[in-house]
Amino acid sequence: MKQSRYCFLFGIEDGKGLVFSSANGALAELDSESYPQVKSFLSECLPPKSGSNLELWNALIDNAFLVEDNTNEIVILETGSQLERSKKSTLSLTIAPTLACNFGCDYCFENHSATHMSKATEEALVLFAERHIKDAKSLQTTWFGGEPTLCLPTIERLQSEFTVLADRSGVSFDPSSIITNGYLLNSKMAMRLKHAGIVLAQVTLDGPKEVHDARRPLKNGRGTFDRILENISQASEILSIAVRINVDRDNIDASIQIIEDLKNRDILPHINVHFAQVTASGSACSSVRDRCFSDQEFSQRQALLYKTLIDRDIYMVDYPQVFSGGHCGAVSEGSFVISPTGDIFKCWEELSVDSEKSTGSILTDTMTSTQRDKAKRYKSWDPFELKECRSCEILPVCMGGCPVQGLQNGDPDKGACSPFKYSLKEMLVLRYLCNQRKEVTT
Amino acid sequence: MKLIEQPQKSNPQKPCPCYKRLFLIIPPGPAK
Repeated sequence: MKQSRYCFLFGIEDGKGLVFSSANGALAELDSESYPQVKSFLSECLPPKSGSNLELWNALIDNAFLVEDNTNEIVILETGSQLERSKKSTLSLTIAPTLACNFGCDYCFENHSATHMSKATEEALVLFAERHIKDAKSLQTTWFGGEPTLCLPTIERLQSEFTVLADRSGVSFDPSSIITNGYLLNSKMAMRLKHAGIVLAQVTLDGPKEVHDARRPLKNGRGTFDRILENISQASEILSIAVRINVDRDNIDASIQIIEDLKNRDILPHINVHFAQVTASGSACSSVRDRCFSDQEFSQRQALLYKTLIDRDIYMVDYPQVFSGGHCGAVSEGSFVISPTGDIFKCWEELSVDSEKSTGSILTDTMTSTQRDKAKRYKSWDPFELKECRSCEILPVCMGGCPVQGLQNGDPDKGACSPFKYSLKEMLVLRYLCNQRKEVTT
Repeated sequence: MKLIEQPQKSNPQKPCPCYKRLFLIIPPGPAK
């Protein structure tokens, strides 16, 4: 046996240790007796002579901290990734029924347009889904925009059509999700979305009232915080709500306060919250470049935020998710982003009404040479061909990071590193602390 | 050894629609 290249072992407090596998996400606490023993097992890779430590040895094998000598973990990961990326077993449609938005956030990456999806485009989209569902076992839809709740009837009609199509084709129609600013997401809207098969809504709050209202106002400049908070409270009774907090230098210090607010109003236990890095992608938001954190800064500040929350008895922290495939839709064959005019994009951040930036159209199976080149760039992007990614110990939880960022960063050796690259141990210790304190308080 | 997090079963057939904007796994089953 040998130590997995994706196994991390490190000491924490009182002689104890943590062992983590980035290959499968397993995390285990080791007491002060087990920690040195595991250290020795992983370095020497010799099975115990007596039976007393056999259980520990076997647990290391069962959880893939130790692997067979002839196991080539990179090749296994690479083969799995190539296979999954080319599979079309899930037809994933991210649909923007409009690029119009009622908000005027200064960091938004989109160039908004008033275009709404026409009935003819809706029909073409159903026919497009019908053509592609033949290879699939399941259908997945995500509603995006612009602000998708401005087009509720379109969402309802298409969700209904997709339900019929999935049923007729013998494929499962997965629970759907929507990305919304939350301004129109009152209980009535939430109920209609639920009836349409949408179970998860991601809503953004950027801090307490003064901060949020300055960053995420209506087009006319009026604040949106109070109404969104009330909507989250109502909608969380009906849908799963994920609150996203966009973080940059301007609001990092205030971002804790919104979580305190959600806790004090008893909303926090009913929702999920996560921090997201504001990045300056594209011309629409290049003006915010100066206030964006670098990847490394963000990961360190994010760990500090979670530590502060734990110190205040709020037990939440991001945890690495393991995917053995191209886990971004942009590099998966069965994944499409559809604009209101029926153009197809691979990445959400490239979504626009500019056909030149698309990789095709739902109206035709033919592609222009520009579209073909663009599609090919995504298809051929491969973290296993990037030297630093290939040798990275957290490749299974990152898989090269955001493909579009990787393509843009111009570095021939690496993709776009995940925040875990710079703060993995801190985040794992925080997860351990969350787990420990929860046990004490419950 | 006390497992804090169980090994995950990867769900490779369901890619995240966007790497950056939706770091979420859609929960199975009906909404709560």
